[in-house]
Amino acid sequence: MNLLLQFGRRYGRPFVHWYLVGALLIAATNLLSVTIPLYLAAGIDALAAGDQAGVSAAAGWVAAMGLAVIGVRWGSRLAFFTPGRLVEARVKHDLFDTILAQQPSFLARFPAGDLMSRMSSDVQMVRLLFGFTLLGITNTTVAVALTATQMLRLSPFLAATVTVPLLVGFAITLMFVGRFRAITTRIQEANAALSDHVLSTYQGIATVQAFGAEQALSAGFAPLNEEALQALLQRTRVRVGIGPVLSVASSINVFLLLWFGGPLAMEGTITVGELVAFMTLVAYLTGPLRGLTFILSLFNQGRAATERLDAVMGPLPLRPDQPDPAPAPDAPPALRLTGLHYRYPDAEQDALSGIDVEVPAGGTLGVFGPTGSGKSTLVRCLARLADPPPGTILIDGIDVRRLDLPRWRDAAVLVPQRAFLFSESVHDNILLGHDADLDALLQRSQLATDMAALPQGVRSQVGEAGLTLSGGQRQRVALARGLARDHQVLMLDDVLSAVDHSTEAQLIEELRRGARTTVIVANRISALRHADVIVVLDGGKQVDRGTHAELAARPGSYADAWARQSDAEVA
Amino acid sequence: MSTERTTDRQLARKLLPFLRGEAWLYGIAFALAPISAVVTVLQPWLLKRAIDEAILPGDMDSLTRIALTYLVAVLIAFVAESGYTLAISYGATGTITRLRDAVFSHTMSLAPAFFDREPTGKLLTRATSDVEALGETLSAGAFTIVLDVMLVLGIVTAMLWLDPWLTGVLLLIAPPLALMIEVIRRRLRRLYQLVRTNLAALNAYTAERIAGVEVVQLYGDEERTSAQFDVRLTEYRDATIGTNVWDGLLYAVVDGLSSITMALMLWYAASGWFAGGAITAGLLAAFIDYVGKLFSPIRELSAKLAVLQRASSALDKIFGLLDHRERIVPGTAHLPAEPGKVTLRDVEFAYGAGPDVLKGIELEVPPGEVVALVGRTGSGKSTVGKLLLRAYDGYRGSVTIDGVELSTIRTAALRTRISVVQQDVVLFPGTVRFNLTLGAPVDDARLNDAIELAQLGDVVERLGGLEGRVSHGGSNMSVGEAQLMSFARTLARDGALVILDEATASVDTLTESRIQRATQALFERRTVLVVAHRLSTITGADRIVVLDAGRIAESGHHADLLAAGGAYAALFHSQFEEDTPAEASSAS
Repeated sequence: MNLLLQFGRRYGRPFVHWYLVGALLIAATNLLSVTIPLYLAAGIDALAAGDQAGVSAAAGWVAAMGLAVIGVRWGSRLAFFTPGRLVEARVKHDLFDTILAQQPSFLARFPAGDLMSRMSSDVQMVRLLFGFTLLGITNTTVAVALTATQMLRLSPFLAATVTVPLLVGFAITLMFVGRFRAITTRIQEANAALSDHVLSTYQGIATVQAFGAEQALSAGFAPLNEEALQALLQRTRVRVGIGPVLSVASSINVFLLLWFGGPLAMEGTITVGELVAFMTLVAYLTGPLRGLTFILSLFNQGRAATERLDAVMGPLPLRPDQPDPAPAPDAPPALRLTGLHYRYPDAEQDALSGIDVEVPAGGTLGVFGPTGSGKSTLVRCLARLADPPPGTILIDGIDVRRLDLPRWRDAAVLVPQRAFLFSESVHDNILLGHDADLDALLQRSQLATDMAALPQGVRSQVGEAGLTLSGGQRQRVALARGLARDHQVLMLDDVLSAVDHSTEAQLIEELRRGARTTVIVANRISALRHADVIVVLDGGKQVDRGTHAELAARPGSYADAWARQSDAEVA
Repeated sequence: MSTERTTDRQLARKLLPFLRGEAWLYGIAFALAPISAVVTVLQPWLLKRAIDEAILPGDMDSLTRIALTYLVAVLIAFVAESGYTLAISYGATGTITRLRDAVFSHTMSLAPAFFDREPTGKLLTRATSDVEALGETLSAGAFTIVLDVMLVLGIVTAMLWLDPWLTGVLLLIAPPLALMIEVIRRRLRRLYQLVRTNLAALNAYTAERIAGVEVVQLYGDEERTSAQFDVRLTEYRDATIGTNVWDGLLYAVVDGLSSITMALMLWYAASGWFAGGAITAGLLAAFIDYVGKLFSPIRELSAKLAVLQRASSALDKIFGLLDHRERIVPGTAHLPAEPGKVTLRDVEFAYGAGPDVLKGIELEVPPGEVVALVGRTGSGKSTVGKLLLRAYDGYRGSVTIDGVELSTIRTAALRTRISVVQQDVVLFPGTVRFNLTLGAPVDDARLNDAIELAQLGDVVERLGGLEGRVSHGGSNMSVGEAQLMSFARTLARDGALVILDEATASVDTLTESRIQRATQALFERRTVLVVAHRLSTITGADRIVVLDAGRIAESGHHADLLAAGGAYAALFHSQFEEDTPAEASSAS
């Protein structure tokens, strides 16, 4: 409930004036709606009395009020639904910005399909909360208050009579409506699991088909589909169970009015017109009351949605925004890692520990180690895709966590191991909105020939909806993207494996000449041998450190690899 | 995907087979609908009789009888309506579950070329939101319209029967109402279309940026990305506000017109034309009740139109996919139980309408031999592997496996014969066992052998054994470990023919050499085609074939090729020229 208030304060408050106007218009609509039956009653009574002028006058009032209803009804819907839409857009905007700002390790808890479903279904529930639900609650409250007043004025006895079934109906509804929250969560979870299965199957379709795994994946899909079905049916049962309760209560009231009100009309305690007006009021109340069931269910679904949104938006970005950030370096900095260790959230052991190494300003750090030894984690900590513990990474003597993050990321470029391309042109993918000499970049990253072969050159669309580039080409586009930035630190996470050896040699040569501090993660010794210092990792721990000459001379995994890679020449 | 829009009627016909399984539920619903309509129509008429025949004359017995009849009508309406809703909802949910199953299975059967073009996010939408939109219509929209139409017809009939002249008042209201609804409906139709298009663009953008969020962060691209997102968000938002304006107007007009209709009826009753004062208080009360009931489904019309339209567009997309038959034609020929000999004769191939990537390839891989394909990126080496797996059709020339033409071989037979390690490792959320077997019956002994051969023992142990979980996209293991996993998968499959597509690209040299040693033994009994660019891994191959721009440049043993000083030697030296042992010893 607190969460709901929080969302209300954050997103609803700016639109309070909309809601106030809306509430006034709703009051007016309802006032008209409950007044119209009174004039209809007067008309009926006038007809029974043969008073033609009275009937005409009543008709005139009803028509005038009907016209007025059009204006105020329209206005009230706009006054509530428009903020609903504006809130939807703001929540989406904030959610997207939060996702962009969140640590990747945090986002990894949410499969992509799950984030998308929060972005669409859950935000939609919030939109309904701030539009339709608020309108409904206001409308029902006003409608009940006004009809109750009118009924009491017409006949307190009949008013009390019709209250009984309505209260019973309302109690039954309240008893069940709370279940919608749990059911909504179940439905959302079932859908998320289903999406995840479908998405990973489609993404891996080449493997699925090559291994003839279609049936196995269909078999895995079946229980997920069944759970989604059962979740929906559970909601259906509750809906069907409570949906008609209040409208049946209203219909029973018409019966009660005939049963108890009929004799009153015969005695003349009330007029026939008043009895009809009473029935019209009861009928009028059916709409808002029936809607109330739906609104209460929406309210509960909305609560579940705010919880799911809060799970992503609530935790502040894990990167601590320093109140007084230190400026990022504007010259190639010296790097110092002291006792660097890192454990991924929810992991049971450190992915990295005991890393101690120093790199002089403008120097090169080589990182070598077997698969899963923590090489990528090391550069991710440097780039602050993962947050290292305080004081374990010093940039020119300043804790990397104290640096202004956007500036640090401007200064330190990481080309990650998995190349990701957006559905844009190669040109846009490389420059990402920046200016740079593209031709030179293509040459440097050995892409020029590849681009010349594409139908529209660098303007060719790539990514999911465009051309399929090979793994090597993707990696080189990512490399060009990294080189496009002016940077003080360049980190290449196993990127050089995508280029052939002569290109690798050229690149290394160029990196050595340039004024920058470099971190190279590689399995090929040729990419590492010129580094000022190389750390050798195994199982997340630093097992050795030294220059190429030192490491090649000592027994160990580095020397083994060096021997093997050199042997290949002789074989 | 089909670009031509099918008509709603054609779409409905295509949907029919999926409704059949729940036919009995829909049958119950349609049997209950007229009952519900009839009792609903009866209620105002009973009211009229109560007023005119009981209350006004003061007949208590009649009142009791009519009131009790009214109660019965109410209860019947309740039962009929609940039964109707339950049957429809169960039916619709069952239908979409089966439809979703069909969409998923069908999509998996489509050719890789289809997946090259269609974003997976879009295909996911077919199996999720589109199917859900349809379910919503089936349960809330399409069939309640049937109920509504019955109700409207019933009410109009009852009114005509009670007093045709008073009913005539409706004729005054109907034309302007119909005109207004039509004008607004057209505008709404366009607006809803716009909302959907804008939403699709917004979602596509969002999905991709979420997938590439690390790149956005690393390159400080948050502001630009956020601004691009906002452009799409604003377009979507403005379109939705447009629908609110017209939707709200429609609702308000219908609401107001129902009161105006009642006023007209009063006037008419007062004027006493035609009927000459025969209109009773009870009749008027009943008519006012009828008018209220008549206008309420019309008032909800715009909401239902939106739902219907969404469903129609969802159906169009779903069947666009289901009707799309871009498949690799499955052959019928069986393979002889032979070890697997591959022959390519004058093979040419192009992806779609693109340029030829293979030009006159002549290649023979004898049973039990290891043949390596090398060449620069774009030389066509990966394509050869893809052709053999029948990921792409339409090669020219001849490709045979054990003498049988590739395009005629039964797909299932081919898949048991050929195992592959793919360039991109794919892991599925599920157990380690599932990821290794992919549903094939493999016993634990062979599975454990494969794990051991792939040096995957410690990884499997860390994940919790064969039943341990592999998370989405293999995010709980490193790239190299995933590669080993993919290797173990292939070893477990035990096919006679193995295709290794750049299997060693991102595994470090240490792991790579371990795999190398372990697989050497396995390869002895098999025909192996290695698509490689790490030359150190294939120096021991029986034959090395060098591809250049889709043609075979040269082929032979490593030592011979090196001695020949041709393309291979150039490739090889470019890889190793710096790593000479002489230099190493001088450095140390």
